[in-house]
Amino acid sequence: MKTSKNKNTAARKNSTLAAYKKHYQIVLMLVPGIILLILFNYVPMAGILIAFKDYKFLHGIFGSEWVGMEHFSKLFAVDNFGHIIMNTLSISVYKLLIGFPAPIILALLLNELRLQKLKNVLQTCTYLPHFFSWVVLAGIFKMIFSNTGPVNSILMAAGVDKPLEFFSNGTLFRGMIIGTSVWQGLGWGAIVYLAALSGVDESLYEAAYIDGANRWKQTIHISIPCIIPTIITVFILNVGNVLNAGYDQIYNMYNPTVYETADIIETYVMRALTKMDYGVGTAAGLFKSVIGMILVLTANFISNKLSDDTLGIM
Amino acid sequence: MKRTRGEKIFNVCNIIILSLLAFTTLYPFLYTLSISLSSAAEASRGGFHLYPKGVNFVAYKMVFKNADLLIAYGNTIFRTVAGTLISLLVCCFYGYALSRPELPHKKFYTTFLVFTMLFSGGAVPIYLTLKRYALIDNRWVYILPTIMSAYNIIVARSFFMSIPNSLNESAKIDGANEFCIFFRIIVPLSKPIIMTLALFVAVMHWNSWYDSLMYITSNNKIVVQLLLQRIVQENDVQQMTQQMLNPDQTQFTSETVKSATIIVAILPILVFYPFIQKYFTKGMMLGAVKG
Amino acid sequence: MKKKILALTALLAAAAALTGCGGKTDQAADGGKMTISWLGVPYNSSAQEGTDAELMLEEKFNVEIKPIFYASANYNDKKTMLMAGGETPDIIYEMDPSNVVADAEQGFLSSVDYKTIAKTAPTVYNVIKENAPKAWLYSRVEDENYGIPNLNYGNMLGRLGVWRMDWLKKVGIDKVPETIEEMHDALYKITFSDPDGNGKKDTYGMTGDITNWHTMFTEVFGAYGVLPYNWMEQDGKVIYGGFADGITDAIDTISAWYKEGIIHPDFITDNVFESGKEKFTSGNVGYINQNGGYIDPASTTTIAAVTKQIYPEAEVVSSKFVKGPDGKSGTQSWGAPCHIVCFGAQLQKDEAKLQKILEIFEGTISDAEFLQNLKMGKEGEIWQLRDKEKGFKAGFDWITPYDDNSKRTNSCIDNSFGSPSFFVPVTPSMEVYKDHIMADQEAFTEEYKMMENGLTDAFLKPDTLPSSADCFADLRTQQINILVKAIKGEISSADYLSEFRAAWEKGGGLKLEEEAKELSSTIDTIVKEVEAD
Repeated sequence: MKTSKNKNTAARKNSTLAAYKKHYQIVLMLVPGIILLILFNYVPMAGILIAFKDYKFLHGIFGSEWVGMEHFSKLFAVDNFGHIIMNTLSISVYKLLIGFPAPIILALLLNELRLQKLKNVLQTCTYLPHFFSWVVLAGIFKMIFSNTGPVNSILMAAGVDKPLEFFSNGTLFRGMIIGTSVWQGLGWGAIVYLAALSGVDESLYEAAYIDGANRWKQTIHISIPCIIPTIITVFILNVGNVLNAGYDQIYNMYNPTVYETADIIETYVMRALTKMDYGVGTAAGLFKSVIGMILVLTANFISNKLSDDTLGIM
Repeated sequence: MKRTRGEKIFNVCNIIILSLLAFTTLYPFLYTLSISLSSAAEASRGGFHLYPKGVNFVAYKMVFKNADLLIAYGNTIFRTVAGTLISLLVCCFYGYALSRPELPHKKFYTTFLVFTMLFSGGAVPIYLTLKRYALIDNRWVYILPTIMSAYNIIVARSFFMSIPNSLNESAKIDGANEFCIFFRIIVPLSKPIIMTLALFVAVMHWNSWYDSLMYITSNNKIVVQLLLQRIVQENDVQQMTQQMLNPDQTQFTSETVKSATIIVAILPILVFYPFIQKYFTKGMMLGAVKG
Repeated sequence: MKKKILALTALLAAAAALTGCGGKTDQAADGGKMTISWLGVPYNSSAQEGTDAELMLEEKFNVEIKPIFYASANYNDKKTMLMAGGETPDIIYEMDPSNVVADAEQGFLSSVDYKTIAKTAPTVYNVIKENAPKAWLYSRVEDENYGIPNLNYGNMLGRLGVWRMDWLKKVGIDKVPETIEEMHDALYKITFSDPDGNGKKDTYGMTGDITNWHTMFTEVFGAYGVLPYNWMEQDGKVIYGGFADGITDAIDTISAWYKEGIIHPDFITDNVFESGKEKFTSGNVGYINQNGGYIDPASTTTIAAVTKQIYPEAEVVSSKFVKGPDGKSGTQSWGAPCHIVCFGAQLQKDEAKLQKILEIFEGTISDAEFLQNLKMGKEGEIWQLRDKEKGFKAGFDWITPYDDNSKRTNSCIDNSFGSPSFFVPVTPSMEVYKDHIMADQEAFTEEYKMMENGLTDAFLKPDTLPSSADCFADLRTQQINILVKAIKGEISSADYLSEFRAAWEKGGGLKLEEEAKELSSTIDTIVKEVEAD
């Protein structure tokens, strides 16, 4: 038994070596990327150890004392940590549920425009908000959604008896955060799908048209299936971000009356870092990364299961 | 193709919906542009700004009188052009290799990459690492650490995978090596995705300022975005008698100057987009595959 | 294809080669001159080594200065990275006491006792002793002193009330309101008597700002003798202002105003620096509180100047604090203590250098002429007297190109009232400021006599207590929320007290109260120690 096992591993080793030899050109293509990843991503990752150490700059990461899971227990012992996680999730899950399909729909709608010029102009407009920081956008939204602003004026004219307090009602505030974030990322997110749609073989549409399929059917049976790989890939990549609820946006839009519903992991980490608690800050970051990795692996696993290993990214 | 009535109605609705959306997304740009061209008094009046009132270019003069602006633009253009070209080459190589079924240890190389998307060493360790590589106050700090983008590589990889394998099989029979196949067959077929990634990388480079703030100490090496932030801040310094109280020190600068800096910062990259857009035309693949 | 691979390799090689030649500048090996690395106040980020001010210092004190100019954005991160990379500067400018604590705990800072400072830099020491001995609290970490606090005289002033006088006149009020009743009357008339004469009810008395909590109705709270978010002394005890006597009266007043509709419904989202200010300048509200910087007569961006640009007929005046029913008045102010100048840990062993730096500080502020040249640049070159006969008090003008803000900033030149500048990190006396730095003395006194010193936290800042970092921000948030409910009339002011008391006890407030007791005795010790020297 033993010898055959050894033989097996030896044989496998040989065949791996042979595969590397045979496809050395493909492997060569990976080399610059691998070097860069090691130099700029993996070397500094020693910093993750800070989550388990009492980090003193002068002693360096390796010279600092181990403290085990102390930072994590500090993190989880924070009075409202569960509450912070729930806030983070309820904002980012909605952002994912609405913000993920929205660019796909936009891309499909743009794709249905027959006037190329109009399509170009509209597409350019929709991706503009990506270039504005939340400081600027928040200023504009504060004006639009204020108690005396246009949104409330329209609502009042339509018969609502009291202005909706978007900035002091937790639920409305959350809805506004989600809505404006989806709006901001819409056009930019659609670009990758538009690129995928431009790869669809036109003859497929022609054949479908001859078969009598209308535009809706063509979309369902040709456009969407053709961009499914892109959709799944982008979804798996985005799902790892679910614990990033968008610090920049929330920071610029909130006020004390909605801290309760808008306090997220990032705002918590920022507070930890301002008191220079690098250990806790790093621990929170690592916690986020691990959850993100688990989600990515799960999404990947499910995609692979459902598609016979063709749609996952790993 | 003939259109049914339903389709016509759909077309009209579609145009209306998209136009409304486009108007809302255009608004921040119009707002900022109007403020930047308005007189200071009009700009601080509050409310909606769709077009400039009391048109003048004082704010732009204020921004452009800074002698370092051209140098900063030079640095930004350098990092955008060089960064995008290098990043595209390395990322497409990596993505293409991952897309090939015959790559040994494919799962490992993918995970190796995806891991970096989620895990990071943190600001201080990254700084110390860059210092060890002598990249502090060095323009290459803009480019080298940003070459690899897991997101872009995976997106490119899934596009490459959609290219029929038969194409490179036949090329291989003709005796072409892998690099040859990549540049002669894959790249021409992948123009939409390559241009998309070029846009992603270029915009990322154009908008970045954090690395310039953290890793650069010489004034002649900073990027435009950072310089513009400084113009806004320095304009305020004389009035910052109560700095400690107000974390946001930009509040004293006139709105017009702030808006002008935004326009000056983003306009050049906006102009870039239409050049990319033409690669999104339908049927790009068709011609290439048939030809 | 091989060419492309070669090209790529060459590119990477070139990159590697380039990384080799970046970095380190030459160490100044200037025959025996002491080199001082100087990380100053981070407001001159575009300045370069070799400004006139630097050369002046180098010549006078025979040293070589290596200035480090950082921007205020992410200043603490940058500073930490610099020091973590092993390049701790000799002079380190700390923006906040919490940074001193953090850096001292990391071992970046050198401790320095009061005696050394008092002996080598007596002027520096005495200015603090006379104006704000409590300031030493800012540089204290675990019973040791780690630096020299500096003062900003401007911060002692309270917030200033700003009125649309032309509106007041239109509704029949001829003088600026001085009491809380008069203020109410004025706000009411501004809201309901159509002061802009457009026939529409589109004006409000005032708005608020709950995000910048220190500005929120602070003049009203002050009229009842309360700082709702600060630690204050009442009856010889230090208590949290949120529970102080008078708070319910203040809440009742504001709540009544809100109910009448004289407070703008946007007071929750308004920001006194942005939208709130805009509401005033664009004729939406008739009153707002502002800090002293806004009354600089030379500036075109002050609230008065902007309002006049929009409404040429507008008359904008400032007012003193309004008096409450018991004659109390005031607004929140931060007190004079501002930032802290610290010394790199390497100076612990390098006494000569520490001595030299203290000598430089002393020499800078004890010689008024030198200080003027250092801070504002040379007369005739950078600025000129407006009236040679009357001298400096008659004012001066910047000489082109120094009439441009950014030019001055890049040359490390300023004359702002009280605040520290890059090469003058310590504070000269108020008299030196008034006679040699502040221009437009007339205008200054004219405007500032409207201003009085505000009410200051017993510990200077409300978050000075050790446990503040853990719970204070959350407690304050809860307090503001309960307060807003009370203002909107959803709960009574008595409910405010009980609800906030419950939240306070649940959220760690009792621990803060204990620490407050301890800290007050620490302050007593510090003041005693300082007095002794």
